[in-house]
Amino acid sequence: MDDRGGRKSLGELLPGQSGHIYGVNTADKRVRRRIVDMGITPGTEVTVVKVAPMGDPIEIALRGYSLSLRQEDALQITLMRGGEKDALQKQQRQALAEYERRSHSQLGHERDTDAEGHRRAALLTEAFTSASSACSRVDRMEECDVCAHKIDPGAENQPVKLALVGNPNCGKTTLFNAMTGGHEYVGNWPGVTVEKKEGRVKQPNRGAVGKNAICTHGHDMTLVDLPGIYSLSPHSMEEIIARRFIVDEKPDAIINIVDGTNLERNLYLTVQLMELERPMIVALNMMDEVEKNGDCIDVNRLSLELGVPVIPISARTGMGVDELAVQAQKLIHAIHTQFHEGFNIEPDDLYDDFTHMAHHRIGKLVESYAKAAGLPLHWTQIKLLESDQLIKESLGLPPEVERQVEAVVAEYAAASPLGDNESMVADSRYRYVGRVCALALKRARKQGEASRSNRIDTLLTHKFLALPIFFGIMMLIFGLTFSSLGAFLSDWVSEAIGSFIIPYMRETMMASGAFSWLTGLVCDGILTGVGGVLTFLPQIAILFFCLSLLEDSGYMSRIAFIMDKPMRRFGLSGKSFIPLLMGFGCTVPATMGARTMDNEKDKRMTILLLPFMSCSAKLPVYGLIAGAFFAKGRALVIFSLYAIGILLGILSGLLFKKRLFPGEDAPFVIELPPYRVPTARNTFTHVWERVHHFLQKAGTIIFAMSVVLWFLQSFDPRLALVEDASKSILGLLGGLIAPLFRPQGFGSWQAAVALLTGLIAKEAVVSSLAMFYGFSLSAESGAVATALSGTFTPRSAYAFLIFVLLYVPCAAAVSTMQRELQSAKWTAFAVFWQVAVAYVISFVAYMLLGPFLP
Amino acid sequence: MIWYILAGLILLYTAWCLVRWWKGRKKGCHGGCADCPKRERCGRR
Repeated sequence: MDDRGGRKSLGELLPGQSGHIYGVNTADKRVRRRIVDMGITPGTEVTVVKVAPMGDPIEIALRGYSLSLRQEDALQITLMRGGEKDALQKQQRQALAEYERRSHSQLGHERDTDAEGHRRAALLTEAFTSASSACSRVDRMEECDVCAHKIDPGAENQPVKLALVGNPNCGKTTLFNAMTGGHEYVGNWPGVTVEKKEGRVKQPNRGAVGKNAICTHGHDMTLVDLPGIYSLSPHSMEEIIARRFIVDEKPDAIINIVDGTNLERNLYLTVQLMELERPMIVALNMMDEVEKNGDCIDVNRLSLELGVPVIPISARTGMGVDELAVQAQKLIHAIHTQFHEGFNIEPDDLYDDFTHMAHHRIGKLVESYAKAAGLPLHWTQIKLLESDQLIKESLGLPPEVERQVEAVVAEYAAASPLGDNESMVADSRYRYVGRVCALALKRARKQGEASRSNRIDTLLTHKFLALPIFFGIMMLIFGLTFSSLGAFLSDWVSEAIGSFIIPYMRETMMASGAFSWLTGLVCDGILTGVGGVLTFLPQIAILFFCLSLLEDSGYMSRIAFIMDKPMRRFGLSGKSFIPLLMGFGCTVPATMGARTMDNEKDKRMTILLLPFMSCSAKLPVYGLIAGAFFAKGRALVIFSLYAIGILLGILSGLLFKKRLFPGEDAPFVIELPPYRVPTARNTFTHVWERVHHFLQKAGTIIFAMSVVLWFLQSFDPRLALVEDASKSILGLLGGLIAPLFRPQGFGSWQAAVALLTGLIAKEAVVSSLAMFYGFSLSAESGAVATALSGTFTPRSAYAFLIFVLLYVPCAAAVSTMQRELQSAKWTAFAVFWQVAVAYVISFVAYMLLGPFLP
Repeated sequence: MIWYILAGLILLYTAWCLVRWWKGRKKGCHGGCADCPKRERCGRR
């Protein structure tokens, strides 16, 4: 307490209590920067909303949004004493009054000292926000053939590239989809987009404009959806990807998407983007929610204060999206017609005088180096003031200049009680944003007052009810997918394929005089193999429908909040829970999703543990075997497999934490988005994409595997047709590795080969078994069990399921792991670990089940 | 004759699927493009 000067810390506040931030004392610079970037700067009012069910982390409300951070980090954030708060507020009021006095000449106030800069910003803003429907202010205008807007013919057909930049979970991908007609994945949790995506805005037909179609007036317009970022600090992969794209590839304009319900925190990024000296337009998203909340944003005032066009939109409903495209084109036309030479829309009041002075001193030292490196000068100066290592490296400063820059930075840092240059710059930006919001935003609700999301959270993150509700939801999803509706629909599909399609095809081909081997290939190879996988299509659709609801509603982030403490026990953070949960869908995107981890240790741990989360491709195998041998307790058997996977993931995590990744835990700073009603369109898109993916796989690689396996199973090494499959090429090959699985009770060549085919795609295990044992897809579970009984007993079947659950994921997943881990050593370790655990645990299960199962 | 053509088509399609999988495997392709962030570089939209 001594170094805090008797001040309380944020971690000492109880739910419902508020305080004003004095300083962030966290020793780890990266953690401190992340906390400051999220808006925890001196003077900010914070309210503790709740404590997670297990006592950690806590949820706080600040700047109109909710943030979750750990107790140990909260204890490092000191709060102001009463007198300090009053003095600061007085100082802020004076600053605001001063700012008002020096405001834009447009508003009838006195001119600022940098009057030229303001005049240009005001002119530009007025030009874009005026009611004129013309695309630019040139004389030679023609009507667009499609939408009848006035356009500049000289600017037509010039390809343009627009970058979509914004905070995580602010609606970038929704807008991207709305403008390009794309189907990119959207979710209500931060970190959905991990890499940039490009899409072309298509020129619609005349009649389609205004009906979810945007006129590009003949432009070849490309949109680039960048990962969500909170700032342009180089502390995460997403931030580096986004800023490199803007600085190096210089898009024609930036569309900065700002979440209107979370204006302050979003504008923090906006002011940083302004410094990049690219033409910019602000898309003020979620305006429908702003209205619903009773808040009011003065869009014109916001536009004038920022000096950039601001267009209110709702990407979810499509409101204002076409207007945004028109305004973006105006902006580009303006550039093309040299409307505004030396384009720089940085508002002059962005930084306090002291920061301003410091960064200009740096500017004098590095101007020529920044020009040579092709970096925006103003941004370079500020980044050097923030000690940005990547910028320092790009500039290649001589040692003498670098020493002078460091001296300025040290002087700047020493001038404040915060003693930290990065925090001071962030604080300066937030103060500017605070002034803009004070003028343009009126909130209907005070901070800490219960919103709809808070009311839902009182139940879903309740101290005692949160975990039972979470497990209840999981059980419901499993029940729906594997037992009731899913099982009914799967039976129906298998009946259709096994009782109608295959017999009909066999009869037709035989009646038409087809060769018997070709009939066998089509009916016993392709249709049985592909059909065996398609049977599980309804279950996959239901599983993804449920996961989509969890993601879109905002419950996913709450799961991270609830699970952070238990996850820390085995060296992970609550953030890892989201990719791990995605791993139940597909390991490949989940592995990529691990990029959102704050440090390399967490990322590696998450990727190593992901294969323990049973992906949906294994579902057909579980469905087949569990249905055959455990018909009555099918859902329970499948649930036990998922539970074993999770348990072994936890145990591996504990071991890795102790042996491979000892050391400090990564920080946990996560935004809790408001609950939203999932849209039918997004849910449908999500489910369709997965179903499409599944069908695509069935129609390509499963098809090919079925043909290859049929061939290998039907011919001997001399390429003669064989009656007894054990004498076939496959039988001989499988016979070599089959003894390895004798201890587990499934040492037949069929099971061994089925497991090998699973390395290509897990669904192939089912098609292999269906072909090898020749059971009908529409057969009753008893008939499948009889067909498999040559190899499996209920005990060995369960051991087989455990092996399938735990052994190496498919080749594509291993390849993705290699790419994300960037280490052949770690990838090899992951593969070895999975095989070893699968082999040992399936053997242990086989032994332990001896007294209970035949 | 028609049965030879059918067998040939199955063979060609199988070969195409295997080549496609083999190439995609190197890129970390998992069969579908729905959630693949590399799709713009893949040319298989």
